[in-house]
Amino acid sequence: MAGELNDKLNTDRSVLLTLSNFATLDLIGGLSLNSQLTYVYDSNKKNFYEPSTIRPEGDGFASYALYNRNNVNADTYFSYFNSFGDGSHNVTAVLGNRVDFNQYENMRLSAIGFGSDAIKVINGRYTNDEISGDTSIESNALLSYYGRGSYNFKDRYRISGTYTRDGSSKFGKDVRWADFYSISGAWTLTEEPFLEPVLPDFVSYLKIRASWGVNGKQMGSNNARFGAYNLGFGGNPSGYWANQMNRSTYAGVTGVIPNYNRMANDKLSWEETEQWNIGVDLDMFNRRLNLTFEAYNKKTDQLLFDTTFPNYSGYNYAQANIAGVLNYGWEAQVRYRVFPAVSDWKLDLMLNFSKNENFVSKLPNGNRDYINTNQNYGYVVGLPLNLYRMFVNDYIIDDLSQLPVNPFTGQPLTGKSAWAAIRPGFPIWRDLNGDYLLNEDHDLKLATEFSPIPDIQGGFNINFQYKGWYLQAYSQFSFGADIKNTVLNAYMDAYDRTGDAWARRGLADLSAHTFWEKPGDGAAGVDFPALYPTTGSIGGPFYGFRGNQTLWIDSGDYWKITNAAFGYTFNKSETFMKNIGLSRLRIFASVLNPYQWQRSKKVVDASMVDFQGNTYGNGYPQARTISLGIDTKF
Amino acid sequence: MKKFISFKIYGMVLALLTFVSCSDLLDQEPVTITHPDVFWVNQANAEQAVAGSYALFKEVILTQGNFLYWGEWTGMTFMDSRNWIVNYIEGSGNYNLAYRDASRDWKGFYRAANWAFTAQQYIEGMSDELFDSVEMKNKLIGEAAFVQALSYFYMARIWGDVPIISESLESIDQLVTEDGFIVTVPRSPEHEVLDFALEAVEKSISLLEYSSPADPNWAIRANKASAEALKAHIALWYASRDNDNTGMINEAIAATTNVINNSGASLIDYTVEGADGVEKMCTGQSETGLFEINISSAYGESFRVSTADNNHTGLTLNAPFNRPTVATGATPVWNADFYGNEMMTMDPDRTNDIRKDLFFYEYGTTNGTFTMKYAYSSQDPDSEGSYALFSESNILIFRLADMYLLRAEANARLNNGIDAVNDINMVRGKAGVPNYTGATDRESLMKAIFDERAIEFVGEAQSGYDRIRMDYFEGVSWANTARNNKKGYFWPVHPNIISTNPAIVQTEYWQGKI
Repeated sequence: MAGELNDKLNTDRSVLLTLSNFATLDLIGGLSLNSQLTYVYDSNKKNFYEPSTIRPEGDGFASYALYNRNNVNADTYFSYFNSFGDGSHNVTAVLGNRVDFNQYENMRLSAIGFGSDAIKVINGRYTNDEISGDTSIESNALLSYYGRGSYNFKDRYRISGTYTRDGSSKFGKDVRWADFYSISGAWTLTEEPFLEPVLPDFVSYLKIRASWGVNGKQMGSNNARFGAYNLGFGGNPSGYWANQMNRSTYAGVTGVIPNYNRMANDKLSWEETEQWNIGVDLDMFNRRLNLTFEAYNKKTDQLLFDTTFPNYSGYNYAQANIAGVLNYGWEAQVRYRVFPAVSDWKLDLMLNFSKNENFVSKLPNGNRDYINTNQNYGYVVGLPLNLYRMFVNDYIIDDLSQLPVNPFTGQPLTGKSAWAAIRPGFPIWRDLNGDYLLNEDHDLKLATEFSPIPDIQGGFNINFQYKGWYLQAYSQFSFGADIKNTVLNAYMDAYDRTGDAWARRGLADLSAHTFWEKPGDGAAGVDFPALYPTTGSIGGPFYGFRGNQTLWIDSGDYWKITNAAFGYTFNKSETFMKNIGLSRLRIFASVLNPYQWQRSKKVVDASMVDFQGNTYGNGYPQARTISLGIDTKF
Repeated sequence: MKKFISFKIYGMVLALLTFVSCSDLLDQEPVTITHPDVFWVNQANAEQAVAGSYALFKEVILTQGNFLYWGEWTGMTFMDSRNWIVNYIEGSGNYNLAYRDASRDWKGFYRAANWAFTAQQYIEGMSDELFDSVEMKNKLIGEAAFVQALSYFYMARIWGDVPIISESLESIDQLVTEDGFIVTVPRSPEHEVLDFALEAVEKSISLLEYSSPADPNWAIRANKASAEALKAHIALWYASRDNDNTGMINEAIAATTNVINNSGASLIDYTVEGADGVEKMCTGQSETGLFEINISSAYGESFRVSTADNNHTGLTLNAPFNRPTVATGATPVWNADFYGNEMMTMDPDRTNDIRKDLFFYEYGTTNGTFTMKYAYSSQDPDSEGSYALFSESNILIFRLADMYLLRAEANARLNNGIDAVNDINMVRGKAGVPNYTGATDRESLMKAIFDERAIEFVGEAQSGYDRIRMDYFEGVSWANTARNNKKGYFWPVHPNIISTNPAIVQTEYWQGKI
């Protein structure tokens, strides 16, 4: 096989051209007219060829993609600046208009065929049927009128305000304009003469600040307000392999139907968010101890939400501004310099904490709980976003006599008929509706107690220096989050479903985990159910390692040192440095991920978690990297 | 320096111009998509919309082979399937099929019906000058009305009571109230659903013309006879669901008679044409077809014959049509205890019923017996594999023999025994079955007609509906009066339908069973 990968072609070329013209015309007394005109041309071309030698079907795959963006942005504004009263009063103001226009042109062309690998582009060796491609042209425009003003007095008071009126082509005529505004202010108490006798001496700086505002976001799609028709629908359902047949006609006539996946919404509008912040900055003991605290509250009640439509409409979804979310939280940072600034010793300790919460504040249909179509997550008013629906693990069965028996029929609990019959070693889930039948229709529970949001998270850093020596350590921690062991879930589930998919990704180390092997293991509390591939010989799969069960929920608590380093920096005034002409010399050693503590014994790495609480990675913990180095500069 | 200043001023002027340029910029007309405001401007587009409505109907009945679940296996006549999902029905009458959620979901029918309705509205609003002729415009409206009526009729046969949508749903305002509530629509009583379908089919009949087998669109697009055939079916179903409503029975007789006299269609005499006649009928657009769903590689509208159980070829065929060797699991099997096979054995008239040999592959042998109606295929020119075949069998919805037997049934309901027997014999005569000599009371005739339909339309997904319409459940082990009283012959409504539209109430029999 040597050398065959050389037949691969993979080029990616980008051109980004920006032409910008800025002009200022000074009018009278601090007032000027400014104009900025920017044109951006962004082009990206990709050529790709995958040779027949590495494709399972033995055919070649060639593709070409072109992405183009033209952007024109014109910003015209009056600006005003004035300072009076010996510089103690400062006023700035801006009033302007901005136009932003984007046009996108995309093209994609690909061909699959039994071509020779000698040519890597799409040419005549492919038949028409083997070549497919599409092009698209889309545009959007944004128009803004805005004003900003600020005033400050001697760094003691500062107040500022903004106002914007934005119009977007993405929204329908009646709803495309929206007004956004904000106001903020700050008061430096330590600059205030009348507070000077009141504030204790160790306070070197104290400032409080606050802001309030309403801002807006527009969603991605350029054409969502239009009721799009799909061209070329022939009614060939999935499960019917049309091969090279044309699937776009009925009785020889191209079929046109509405885009039933998404209904148009010409009332689609800005997602408006009302937000307030308050903050305090405090420096004490000659600025050796700094405290910063900030709290925020963000309320979005025009959130774009996929509304599931009743089946009589034929439509699946539409996006509408009908959900609400509240985000709030606080952050605090403490920094302590243990030694005075003049000392040879330097030790800085930095600790920061934050806590962020969110919950759903409004849902369509009179705040009815929302479950998505795939029935795997949901939203409930008053609870955090993205709640999973799961089976609740009860026990791992050791003996079939443990199964509860339906008093009416005398039959023990069973799984749904599409699953294998229950046998020892299987996980038994709670029969929530008490019908002695486990199935997805009735026994999935919205995991309301599951919250991927930590109670507290933050970092702790140390920075130590003595003359040329230094030692640094950075760490981060998180407590109180629930996480889902999606890494081992995907691995074990793939193994359980037979086939070789489990072996294609990383091989997780399962040696520390216990699995059910013999009766009694379930009562003894093994970690996982029996892990044998559920082949046809036992009546098909039971999906005992399915993702939607509480088995995978674990604690997300961890504290890890992400990086530790020590080293020595030579003083550049040392004579040997001068002699060899070095302006910088540093020797150091550093370790990435030297240490991690985590509460969970099952999760591979509790720090590799996405915002929904899913762990990621391929089954290996993060690499520990040790570097030794010399850093020089001539 | 001067040059630079003039460039500055130029830029300034340009930017100022944009200040003036007003919100026209915000009306970006999409290039990549088309939408209602710009689409309805010519005949070609209108025709494509109507083709789309047929395609939506095709999709809903073909998905997972649903038409067979709804209309064939529920009939329990000839086709014993060893497929484990079909066994939900055949084993215990459980219509709550695993992995076949679409069989409980009516969304696909509403897609076809709603789009057909919307197309009628728009085409009616288009100026006559945009069309080759007023007849052409009427034809397109009539075809859309046909698809709408057909979709509602299927829903009435599968679920009974269903919501009626009598407006064109195009804007979110129609589905979500101002305070964010989804607009709920309850199920309408089935006779109202049938009235709604009748209204659409009458409109279709009034706008369409008769056609002839020479027409390239014969049977695969609706003509006046297709619409009359549909009307006959709706009327007789209505009569059955409404205590033998005489007016409706007479409507059915009138409609079938119109089709028999004026359609241009004729019966295929199996005794004369043999296997060629059956092939012609099944591959479609034959002289006996009234309405069929087109599946044809010549039109590029076919799919690979398969062994998978998510399409009707995999569900109905065995070697040598879709695989090299006879499979003994998950494929159809001959079962002597099935109603149809028992009937064929017991009835001496059926000894020489030629349809046993023509419609089935090796009738009467255990593993190799199955209906061949979906076995017609052609080689995929792009593949060397001997089982790379494109299906050529149309899905037959209505054909002329159906009209004779519907008229016979209508006459039997009116106790016109002689007229009924005449029509029964028309069909029997074409299959080598001697004239009917049995009793001519209603009950005997209904059985005779049911039996005739069972063999004539085997595989065409009629017998399940025939059971309900004729109230004849002989040979269906799991059917009983208690179940029928709770309308357990209708399909359950998918729980998702109820959760997004809480005004829907589950069919009584299925309450607590889903």
